[in-house]
Amino acid sequence: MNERETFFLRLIRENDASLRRLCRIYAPDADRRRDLYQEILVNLWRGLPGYRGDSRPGTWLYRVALNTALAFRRDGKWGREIPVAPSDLYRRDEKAQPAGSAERLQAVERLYTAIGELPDSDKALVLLYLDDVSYREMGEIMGFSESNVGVRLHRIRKRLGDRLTEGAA
Amino acid sequence: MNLDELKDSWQADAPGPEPGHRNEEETMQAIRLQAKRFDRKLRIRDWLETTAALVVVAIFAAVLPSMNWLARAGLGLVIAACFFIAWRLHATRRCRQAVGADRPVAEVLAAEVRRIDDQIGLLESVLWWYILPIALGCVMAVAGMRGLGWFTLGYAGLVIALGAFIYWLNQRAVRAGLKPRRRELVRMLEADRGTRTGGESE
Repeated sequence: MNERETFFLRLIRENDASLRRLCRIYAPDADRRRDLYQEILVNLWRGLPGYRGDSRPGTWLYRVALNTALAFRRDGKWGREIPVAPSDLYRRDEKAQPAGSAERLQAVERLYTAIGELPDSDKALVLLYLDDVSYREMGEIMGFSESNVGVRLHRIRKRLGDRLTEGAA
Repeated sequence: MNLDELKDSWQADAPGPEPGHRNEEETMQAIRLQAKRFDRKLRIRDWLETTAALVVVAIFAAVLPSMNWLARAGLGLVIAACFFIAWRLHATRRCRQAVGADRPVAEVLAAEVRRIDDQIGLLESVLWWYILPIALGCVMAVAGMRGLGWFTLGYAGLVIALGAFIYWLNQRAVRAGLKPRRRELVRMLEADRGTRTGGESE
């Protein structure tokens, strides 16, 4: 395995869960999630020779992944929106789930549903926020200023908070 | 319940491998194969477009000397149109490739809007740079070869009908595909600008 492949595989391994959550947000069912996931990997691989290290590998990965996901939706690689149903979830790695997590899992499901109702660019910001990406890095990924990220996230968090409270009631 | 309370649960949620999940070596092989297929598809598309234009030019250029002035003028127009069409498509595509997927999302969206504007411009003016020169050239060539009789009139009618159909298809693609897609992109970009304005006033 050469240097490029080693770097690529390490990058995917370190960010695999984030990429899968991203696919879950932007693709409505398992088949299209798999297609999107593969398309992201192919675009990352094809774009790797152009990566000069002027941003963090994670920043670069999020940019490629989000641009691929948004293009995937724009290009109409699926015809209609299908709401995410509990039966249509990723097969989870049960060992990775903390003990007594049924309630947490339900809360995460509600969160996915609420995120699914947001506009595409807001989905991206929430994903980055939940993945603990800094405002500065979110700005670099999205092409917004840091203050703009803050303002947007404030509104999105409020909207999602209201939605989650309604859902829990 | 707020978003911060769910952060840990979100990060602990590790969607497992999907059916058909491969190990790393298999994944690498599949990615290399798909990337190669993608590049080959692009090369074949470019090669086909260029070859088709060259074949048309070669055939027409070969029969050109034996024809009268009207047929020559018609085929000359078709040859010139072929070169122009190939150049215009190539130029538009090169413009489209200027922004890579590793640029910030807003930059890619803005580039996508410009690309769609280019495509809309191309399709809306398709009558002038694609349909009319080819159709006029073909009708002139047939008129030069067969004279101004019923055959030529019928041929002209067929060419006009075909040209009208191609024009309609292109305008439908603009209305049903490109303009809605452009609106969606502009909405996303304007949401960003609106937030900036809102952010400054807050």
